[in-house]
Amino acid sequence: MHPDISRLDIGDDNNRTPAPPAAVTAEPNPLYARRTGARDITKEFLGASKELREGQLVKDDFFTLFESVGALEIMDPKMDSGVTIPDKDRQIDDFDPLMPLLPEEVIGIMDQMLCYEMAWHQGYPLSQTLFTSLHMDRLLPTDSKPLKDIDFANKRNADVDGSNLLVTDVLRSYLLGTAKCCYYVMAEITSEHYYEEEDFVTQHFNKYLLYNADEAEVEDTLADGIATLSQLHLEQDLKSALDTRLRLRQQLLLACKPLRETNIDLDAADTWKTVASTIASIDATAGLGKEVPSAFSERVQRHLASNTPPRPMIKLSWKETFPKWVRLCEDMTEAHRISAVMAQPSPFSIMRFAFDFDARKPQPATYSRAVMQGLLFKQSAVAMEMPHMELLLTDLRELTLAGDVLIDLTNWEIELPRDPRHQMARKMDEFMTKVLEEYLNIYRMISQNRCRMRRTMAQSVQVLDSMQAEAELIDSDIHSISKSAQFKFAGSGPLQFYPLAAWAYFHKLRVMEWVVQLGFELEVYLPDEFAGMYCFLAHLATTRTKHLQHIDFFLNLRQQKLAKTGQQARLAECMASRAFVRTLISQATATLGLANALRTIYALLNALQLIPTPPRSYSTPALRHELRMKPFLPVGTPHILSYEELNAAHVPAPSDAMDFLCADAEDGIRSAKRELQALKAATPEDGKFVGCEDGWKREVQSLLLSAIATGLAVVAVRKACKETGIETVADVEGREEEVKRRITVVVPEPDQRYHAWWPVPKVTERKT
Amino acid sequence: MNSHSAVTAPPGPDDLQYIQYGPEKEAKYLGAIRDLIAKDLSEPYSIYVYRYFLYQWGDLCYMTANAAGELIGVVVCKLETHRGGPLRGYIAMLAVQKEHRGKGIATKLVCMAIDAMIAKDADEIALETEIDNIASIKLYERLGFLRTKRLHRYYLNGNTAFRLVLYLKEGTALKPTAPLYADDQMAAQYM
Repeated sequence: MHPDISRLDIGDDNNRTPAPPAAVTAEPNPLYARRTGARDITKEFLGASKELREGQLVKDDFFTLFESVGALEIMDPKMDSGVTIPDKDRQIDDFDPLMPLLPEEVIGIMDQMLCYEMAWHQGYPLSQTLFTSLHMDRLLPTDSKPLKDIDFANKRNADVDGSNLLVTDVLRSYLLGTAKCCYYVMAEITSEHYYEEEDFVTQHFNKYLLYNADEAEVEDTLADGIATLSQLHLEQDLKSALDTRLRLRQQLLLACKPLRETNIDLDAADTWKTVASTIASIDATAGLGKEVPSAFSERVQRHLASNTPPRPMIKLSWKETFPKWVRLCEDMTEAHRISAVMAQPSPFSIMRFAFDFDARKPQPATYSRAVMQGLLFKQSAVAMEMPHMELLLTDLRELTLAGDVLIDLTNWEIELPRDPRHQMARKMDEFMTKVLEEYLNIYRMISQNRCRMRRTMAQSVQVLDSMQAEAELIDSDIHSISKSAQFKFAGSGPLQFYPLAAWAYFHKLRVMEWVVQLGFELEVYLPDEFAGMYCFLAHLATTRTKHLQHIDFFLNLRQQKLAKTGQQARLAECMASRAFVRTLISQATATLGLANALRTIYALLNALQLIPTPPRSYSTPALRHELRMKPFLPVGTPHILSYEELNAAHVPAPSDAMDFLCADAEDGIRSAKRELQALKAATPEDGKFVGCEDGWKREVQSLLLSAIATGLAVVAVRKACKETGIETVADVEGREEEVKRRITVVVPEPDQRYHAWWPVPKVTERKT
Repeated sequence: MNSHSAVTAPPGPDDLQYIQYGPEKEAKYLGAIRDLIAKDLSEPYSIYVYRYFLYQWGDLCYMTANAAGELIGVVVCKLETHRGGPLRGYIAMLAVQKEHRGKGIATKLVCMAIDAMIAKDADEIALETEIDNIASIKLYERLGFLRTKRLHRYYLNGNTAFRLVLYLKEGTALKPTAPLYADDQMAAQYM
């Protein structure tokens, strides 16, 4: 038993009745007792304790694992941050913030602070990062105070003649600039969606982060710091290095100003570029700094308002930190490139832009993602210029309602309730109000950390399914109001289009595919499951391809109708949508081809026993299938393949010829390549990726490379089969070892793949 | 929860005994259990965490002791209805002394816990483990667990985890659960 803990445990030791703690047995203070009616319950408590069995836990139903994990044991130094450790605490207690520092030391402290600031951005609390600075600890009060009064508390060694200006002015202004910047970052993050502790820790431990301080005042303080510095007699290189660091704080103050306080400043990209170049100058002069380890201690946690156990300082070196700052600047610059997308805004390009941003490797920091969310959501508009309702309406228009009278804006001007146009407008309002939140949630989900993206998408599948059902009902209502969705086709009876449901179904299918694909990226599936999961993905992609063809079929009928009636503007809109839907079809078909190819190659590798398969003694394939399908089981459409169906679609029969299977994989590759070439040639206007051209190109290229690499794997497998005389799956038996002697299979890790969603196996011949 | 340290191999040597925990064993083993598990943790659990599990589900805790009665390995679990839906077993802690790893002790302990949960009609079993704890992940995957979620920065030290789940009965996926709060993890947030 841990010595410190044993003191606290009740009923832990049979032979020992715990002595009541001194504080409890002390005579109650009569004054206190009179005022509050307190009485000594020690005896009763001890008596009651004896009634308990050893180890018995007395708790109510609301005391969950969460509470028990959160419990701390007082006086255990590993859990109780208040325990004193005299040797280490002396450093803090005796610390004199006004102790004169060499300019090199001030540089060292400033750079150290930049390292901690970045560690904080990475998700560690202030208590383990910036707040371990003893200067910061002494400087920041717990309550709001005028900025001029926020000064180093311990004035013991203050130089009356002001010869310690390097600390009292230069370092102080730097620290105040840092504090205000932290406040800005927190304000930005907390105004958007993020996961506390997982993405970021917003706790400020009751320290005043200048949230009341006027921005101009903080700027002035930094300007004063710079002015003071210029008056000091220092070596030029040191002086200039200090100046650069103060200027960085000025620039960061400007760059991190929360979005909600301003109109979106698309010049912010330039501000971040300036920050990047200043960071580069700091890197160039980082060698001038001298570390001051005595100015930092994790023991400050003893003084911070917190109920967490003491935790270690997060030490990042400048060498590790610098690229992260560069990266932050690049991400922020990229986020503000949304202006390029808004030049010709489409919900599809906006979503692609957000998706590409989140997929950057390494993933943008929580702060950058919060800014990206701000650009998408602040003031209920994208980039504060495209209101969310308009975003939704445009999405509907571009996918299924192009040229449809249903979205004719004049409908909204008709006030006569009997007029079908008025009724259509009401129905559209009803629909959009109902689905807006869930639709916007797609943009939210793609701005989260990758793990959460997949989890929230898996949860949203069911909600999107209800959205589709809702849409279908409103479609039916509209059918009874207007014949706009009714078409005649080649002698058949009238055909009804369900544009709202068709739109909802498309989005649902895409989210379902993303859940599966993110599963590959996040290594949720084991290689022996790949064949089955790609088979399922192919099933979804086929469904989406067919669904898009169904949409195109109706768009075509609408186009013909409009051509007959000579409505040029609507006709043009309809034709533009058809061009767009064709690129969507190409995308879905490329996914399908590649998924089919990988399904087959992994099925082949499974059959050749080249993929390790755990014995899984407590499980059955059917139970595992159920677990994998869990997020999708509640949906009405598409049909979710049963275990038997999925198996039949990807597990080769003993009689299947290896050659046939290889040819099957090659069919998939060919089809994917064909569609990818079409996508390569697509214009940004047709494909709706204006402003995301680079991301589009990169994606198409990575998929092409994946297809080519899959082709190489097929060639290698075919050759090995031929050489070992394996003609059918049944022939594998008895020749497994021979195959293993000839080829090896490596499934690349996510960051070694051409595309994280497509783990193409590397099949190589063993050298003999 | 943390602390799945284990490895594989054929069943352990004969001088090891496997014991089911019970309240009468608290005095002898609780301290040792705590010490063994704390070795692999960056931050210790308070005594309440151990009591929480052992008082309510002591019969799902199994220990390995050597001939001298010293604790070599332990598995700590719970079993309760998950958000009003399936009866979910949860493997909270698993630890084997370093020098005894690689002998299949952890596997045996986990199997005993799984068998006990099956006997109590569990629908599924879940747990979390760090993504770079390969030995632990492999142990569970060999038994049939699948990774179902990746949990970003799940642990206090900033490490990411996998949730692993084993279904024991058909129809478990269709048992409806309350949407908002999962009691064996941080509040499951859905926007």
